[in-house]
Amino acid sequence: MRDKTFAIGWFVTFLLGLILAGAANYVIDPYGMFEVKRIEGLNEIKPAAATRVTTAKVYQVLKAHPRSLIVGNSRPELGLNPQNACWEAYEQPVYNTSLPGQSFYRQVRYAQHAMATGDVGTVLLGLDILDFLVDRNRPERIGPGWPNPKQETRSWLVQPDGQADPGFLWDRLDDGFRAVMSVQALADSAYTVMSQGNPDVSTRTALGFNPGERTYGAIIRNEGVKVLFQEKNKSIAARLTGQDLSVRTPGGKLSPTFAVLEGFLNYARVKGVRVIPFINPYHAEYMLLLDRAGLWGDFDEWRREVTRIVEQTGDGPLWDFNGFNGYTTEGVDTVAAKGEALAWFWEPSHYRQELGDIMLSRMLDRHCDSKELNEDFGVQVTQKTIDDRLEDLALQRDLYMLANPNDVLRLSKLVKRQEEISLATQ
Amino acid sequence: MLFNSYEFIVLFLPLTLAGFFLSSRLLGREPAIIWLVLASLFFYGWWNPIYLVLIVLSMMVNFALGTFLGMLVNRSLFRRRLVLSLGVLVNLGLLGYFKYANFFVENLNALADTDYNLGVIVLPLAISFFTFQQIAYLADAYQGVTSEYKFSHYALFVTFFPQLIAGPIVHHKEMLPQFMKDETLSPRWSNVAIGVTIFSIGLFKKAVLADGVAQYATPVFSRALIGEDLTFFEAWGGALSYTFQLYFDFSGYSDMAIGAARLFGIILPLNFFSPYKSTSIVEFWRRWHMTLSRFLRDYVYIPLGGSRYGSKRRYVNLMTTMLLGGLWHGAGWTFVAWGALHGFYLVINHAWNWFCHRIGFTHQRDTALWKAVAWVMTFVSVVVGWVFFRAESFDAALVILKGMAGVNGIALPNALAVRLGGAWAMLQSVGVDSYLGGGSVFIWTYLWVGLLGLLALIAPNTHQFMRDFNPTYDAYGSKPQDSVQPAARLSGRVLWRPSVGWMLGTAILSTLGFLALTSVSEFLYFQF
Repeated sequence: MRDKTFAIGWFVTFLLGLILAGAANYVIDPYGMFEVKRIEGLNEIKPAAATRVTTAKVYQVLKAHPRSLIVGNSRPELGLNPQNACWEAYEQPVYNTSLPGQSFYRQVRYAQHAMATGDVGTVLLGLDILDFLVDRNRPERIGPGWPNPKQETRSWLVQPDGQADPGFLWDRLDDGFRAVMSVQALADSAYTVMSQGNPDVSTRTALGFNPGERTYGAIIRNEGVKVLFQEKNKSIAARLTGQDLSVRTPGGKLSPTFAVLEGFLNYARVKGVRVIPFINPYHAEYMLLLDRAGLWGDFDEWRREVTRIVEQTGDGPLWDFNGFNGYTTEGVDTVAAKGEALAWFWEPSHYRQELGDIMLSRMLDRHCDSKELNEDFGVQVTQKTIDDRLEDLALQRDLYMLANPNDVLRLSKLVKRQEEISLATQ
Repeated sequence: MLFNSYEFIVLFLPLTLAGFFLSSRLLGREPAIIWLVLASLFFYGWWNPIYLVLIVLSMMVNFALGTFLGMLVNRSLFRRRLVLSLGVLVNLGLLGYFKYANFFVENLNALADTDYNLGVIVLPLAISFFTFQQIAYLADAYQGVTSEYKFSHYALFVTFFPQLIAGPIVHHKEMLPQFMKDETLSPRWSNVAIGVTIFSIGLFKKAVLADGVAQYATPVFSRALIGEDLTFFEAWGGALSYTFQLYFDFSGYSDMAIGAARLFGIILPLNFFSPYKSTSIVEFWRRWHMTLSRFLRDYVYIPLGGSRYGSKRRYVNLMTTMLLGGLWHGAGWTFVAWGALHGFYLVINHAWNWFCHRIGFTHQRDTALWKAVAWVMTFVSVVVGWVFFRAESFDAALVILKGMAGVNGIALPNALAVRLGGAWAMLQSVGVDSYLGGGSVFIWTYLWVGLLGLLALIAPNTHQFMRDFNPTYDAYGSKPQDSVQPAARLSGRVLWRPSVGWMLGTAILSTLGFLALTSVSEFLYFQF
């Protein structure tokens, strides 16, 4: 071969390689950004989607064109299925914009973006105390409330005030280019194709749902639910003790996230979208960790403030799914054998779809095919009833602690150890 | 502008090439050289145009001094020395101010309990490299081995973009004669084929391999910085990941520089020759960042006396050279420690060689077992050195080294432990522990480290598989006992030819390297 043929051949092959790689990434779509077509055995399961979920959901929702939204953090993403039987035909398609590890501000910006697609009539809005807490050791990181352009690190269909965002088209092109012309995407495309028969890889559905069996199944089968609880409890305790958390800033003002909630509820009301706010359920061990970390008072104050804002700004009552009941107190020792999961929770902070189904039937006020226990699960709270509700929960907690002293001791030790570690590393 | 960026690959490189050959054909050599200088200055100013003022001023002063030195060739030694000393002082003064002033003041404040503050001094890109290159030019002019009468030529020698930012560090006498050849002024397909091959391999090394393994090094060093205890495998995983990240990053950069220069028909010196195959530290330094080693040898070690004044003085000279080499990499005590450590290694190595000769222990060192032991010792010593080189503080380096020494125990992720079956019980009985989480990170870390380790050990280097096509000058001839050569026969058969196989292979590497540009990262050596 002559040098000239080599050089020209290299250039042509290089260009062909880029085109082929780009086409493969676009069709296989490992992150669910384009949703051209999900083909069984090729790209139906998307194990790499978890790594790009914050980008992918921006574009996936455009394709879904939803009439209803599920908004929140990783808890509703794993717990509330957009394809649940409770949803009426006129409410569908339902899209789950919930995202793991994003601030509440970000969560509602995704909701605003999804609402801008045009037909959204109902929003289920998941609320979580951790998203509202501020670190009093780092007042410089406590951002402003709503709207908050400083937190805008990307463009959306609309700006916080509802005006169209001219930067969105460029971001869309840039994100699309990066998802297609990328060696990581190529590796992820190959991984996607190879993982289709593997039940132990996670995925995201085209409607933004995260099926928990795939995320947790392998860990529970190989390591057991007990290990999973230990691991999660440790990370929750580390998070609760590693910072000086509170619903109030060092100056005594409420966390600016409350203003974000208020801003979003106002926005939705003006847009004529019905918002159903709800407090995610936690497993009893999670609530004990909150208590042991000295945050129960903040938990109470948070619920009181959220109730006030929802009543004053929203158009419906707040649903509270917390409590010490048959759903949340299921002990890991009852399913110590490897491979067996709890019936209602994957681990202390994430409830299963089975529990989510019951939540949906309550919030949408319909009898669906959920497997309910004979329990009083899910309470609508108002400013009138909130004090009784808080008192009731505190009583439930005390009774649970009295009945389970070993668990209390174990979790107290865990919190103390994490406090010592965080002190040593400061 | 980064080699691993769209703007460089898609726009700058093709346009500069086209402009160079077009101007040389239409207007002649001098306009072509001026075009290349202007393009190189644009390349340099892309980061921050203000840097251009410094580099142009530095070139003007050095050119004037070099020209003056050329005029003084037959004059008294004293006058020539005076001019050379002035030049070296000016260059080191500039480097000292931008790179070391704050370091000096910080240490002065700590020692004398004072509170001096110079404010933020931004380190101009490539200053360490172009300073050394110009000192070498002055030294060569002083010795009368080189002279330059045209500023444009001198500017090209300093700014030629393939080697401007991070080397290879070249001599004036190696570069300018190449630009003066008539054949350099017209494009050649052979240069395109060779240049594209070397550049593609470099791009792949940097964008796919080095950046790929970096994600397993950075978190470990970050954890060490906040004082987290690291277990044995975590610490080794981080240290080894960085060991390979640095090598593939810098040797990738050097390959890209050599490949890009070759497109212009210019041959650059070799900068890496499979350093991780070395069976001694002396050999390691003959193969790692070879043009810097050459500079330190010629302009620091030998002027200090080299080995001419006995072994004790030689050891002192070695230590001094390596300490300065360490400090050259960065104004920090961790770099000084790294240099001192390598100085110490070299002293031990030379003393050991002397001892072996003395007792007649020479041919035994060629056996496979001895070489394997020597390789392990060398490699571990180098990895320990890199821990200081990478760590952001002394304490962080010690945290990693403690972990590597097993002080915090040996542990495997629980997810892996439960899959080991009976072997896990055995491991537990010898004290191996388990921890929650981190299973996939553990596996990917060691998969990357294993794969890159194999590549670094087995694969032939650019100079070897392109040996029939003069990819670089200063070919390196190594002795068999100086390195391990696993699968030497296999790798020896890998020989570049303009064939269909190589064309496809090169194109695939280029494609993967180009696709990896969506997550651009700077070269590690840009910070030095």
